Amino acid sequence: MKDLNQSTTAPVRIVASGIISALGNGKLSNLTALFSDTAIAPNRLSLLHFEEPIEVPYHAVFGAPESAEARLHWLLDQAIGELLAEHPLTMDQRATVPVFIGSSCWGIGIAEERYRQQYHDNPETAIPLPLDGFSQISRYLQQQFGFHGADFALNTACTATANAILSAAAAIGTGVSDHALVVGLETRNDTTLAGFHGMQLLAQDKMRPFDRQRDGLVLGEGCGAMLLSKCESDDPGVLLRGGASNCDTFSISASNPDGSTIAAVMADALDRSGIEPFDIQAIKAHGTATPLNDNGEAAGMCRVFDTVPPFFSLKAALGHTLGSCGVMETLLVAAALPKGRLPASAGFSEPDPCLGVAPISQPLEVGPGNYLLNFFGFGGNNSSLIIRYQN
Amino acid sequence: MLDIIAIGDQYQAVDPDQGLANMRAAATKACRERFRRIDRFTQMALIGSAQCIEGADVKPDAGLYIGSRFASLGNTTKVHEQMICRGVVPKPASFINTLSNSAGYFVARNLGLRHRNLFVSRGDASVVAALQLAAMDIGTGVVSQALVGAVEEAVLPLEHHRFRLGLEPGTEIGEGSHWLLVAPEGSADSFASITDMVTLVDEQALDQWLDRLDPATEYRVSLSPWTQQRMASSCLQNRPMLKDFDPALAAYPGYAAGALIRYLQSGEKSPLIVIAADTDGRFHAIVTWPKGDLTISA
Repeated sequence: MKDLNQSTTAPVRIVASGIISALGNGKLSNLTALFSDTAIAPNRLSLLHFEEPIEVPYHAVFGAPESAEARLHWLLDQAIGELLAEHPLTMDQRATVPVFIGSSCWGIGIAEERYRQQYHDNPETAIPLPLDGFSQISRYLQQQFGFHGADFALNTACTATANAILSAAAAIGTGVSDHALVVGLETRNDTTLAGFHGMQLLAQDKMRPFDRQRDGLVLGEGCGAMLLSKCESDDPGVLLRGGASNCDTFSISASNPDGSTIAAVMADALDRSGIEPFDIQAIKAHGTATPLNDNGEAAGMCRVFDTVPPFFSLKAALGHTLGSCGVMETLLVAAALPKGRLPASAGFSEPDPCLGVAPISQPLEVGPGNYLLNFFGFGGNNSSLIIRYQN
Repeated sequence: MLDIIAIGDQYQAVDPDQGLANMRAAATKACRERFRRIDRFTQMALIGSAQCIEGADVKPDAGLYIGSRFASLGNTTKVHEQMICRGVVPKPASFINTLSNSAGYFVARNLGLRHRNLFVSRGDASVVAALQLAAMDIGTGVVSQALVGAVEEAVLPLEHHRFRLGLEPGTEIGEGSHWLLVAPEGSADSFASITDMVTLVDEQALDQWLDRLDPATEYRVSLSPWTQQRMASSCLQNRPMLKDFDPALAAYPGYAAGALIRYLQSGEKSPLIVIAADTDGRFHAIVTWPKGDLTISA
């Protein structure tokens, strides 16, 4: 194994995090649910405002307010609250720390509600998209928590917060700041749910990543927050060792199914981290349970690894939280590693011989080492992160 | 610090009587292949980015960074009109185009870029956010160059668009696609350097930041009409070394990037400070120093 100092990314440590998801509020609740023997089934959600009735499976959070704006704020309160309880930044620190936000929905649900209400009241004067959706999360973080530093509202579809983590590490690596906050949020809205429904990408009932019977994805909502800080390369804990983000121009809605571009981003991430494929202990796959994604990801892993390490997907448990999956899934893996095990790949039961690989069906005992996390998105955006857990 | 080595620019004021300019022909001309079902926002991004890299030496590992306040606003408002007023499920191509990074996909495909490809928003300071991301990636060596665009499309009716932008009724509206190819400090053929990209929490912080400027140097300063509305104090007027630069642009969220490019085209030699206010009381500034006598045209 190469020395950590060979990494082209300055060492950055995950010092605090917070999460709210369909699995529960807080890391402990989420990990407990992930390691539970009980299968996690999505709810059914009826979309009421369409020409024909639409019912979709959905991993909704529990206890959230119904109105879009209050729901967005509540999600942020839960995740940021847990993070600050772990690491209470001073108000001076909060005023300057850069904030890297990733989401696919931003304020679109708020815009839908306001436009719908205006249209109901007076169709002649109703204004579609009557607000700046991208600023909604940053504004609340400023007003409620005092995070007034440079904010970056990143939207690269499902890689948004994986890219936010890379940019946050770059901010620390270039001396912009000793700390950086990463926030990912995805919340219920008609545009996203109907859009995926219209693309026929949603599963009939539940997600089965890498399973022979897989038939699509189930969307989910939640919020994750992660504080990254400058550290020494031998500091104990979970460090971001490196990563890569590339653009695959094969298709706007899918990576190249031959796995070549997915292999390339994983190889770039390994290279930037200064490690070899055999240094990877396990892989958190993107694993959306759509035929194209899982085919391409399996092919990509087979290209990079002589023997594909144990791998798993979290999305059948969390739902696909789109732009926020990068930070939510990374912080959950980072929280699981010190406990010595990673969860089984939820939703998987029957291997698909076409893939040539199968995810783990039981929890995996793990220890210190390097772990690869994959995230792929519409728009050809592919990202891979490598974290290192060390005592 | 970033060196600017090429620029691209596409801008028009919106004529309320003529409506929005049709971009199709110019976009087709800018593209190496025929793209189907692209929206107007993507057309504008393709036009400006192609202009920027024409004749430039673009490195294979160049990153792509698009900043915009609203991204694909025209397409998304249509999706919402159909969805909310008529209960229509978004068509797949329309839904995909609501995703902010669709334009980046087509620009990357058109220009053969395969590396970092980010979309970022920060209100009227989105170009500042895009440049800051590019500077960090160049600083860590992730990319050796960055193609940075600020793309903002107008949407009819204009009174709705003015409402979104917080502008007074009747304000002249513009739209544009402004691009910079930037590289690390010391790059050959650079004609300007960006030395500062800062976020300031309020007007007092802006005042303190201005205090640190060299009072013996004459700076030109550009503020969008909306930023001028948001600036309550006289912190600019109290400093005689700050001279106004008027880029003759209408109001739109891409004003800061448009002003920067017009200044570079003007051949002026003083450093330029572009200041953009956001909706939360902060100010974002870029300082650019033209080099030599080169007068450029996009």
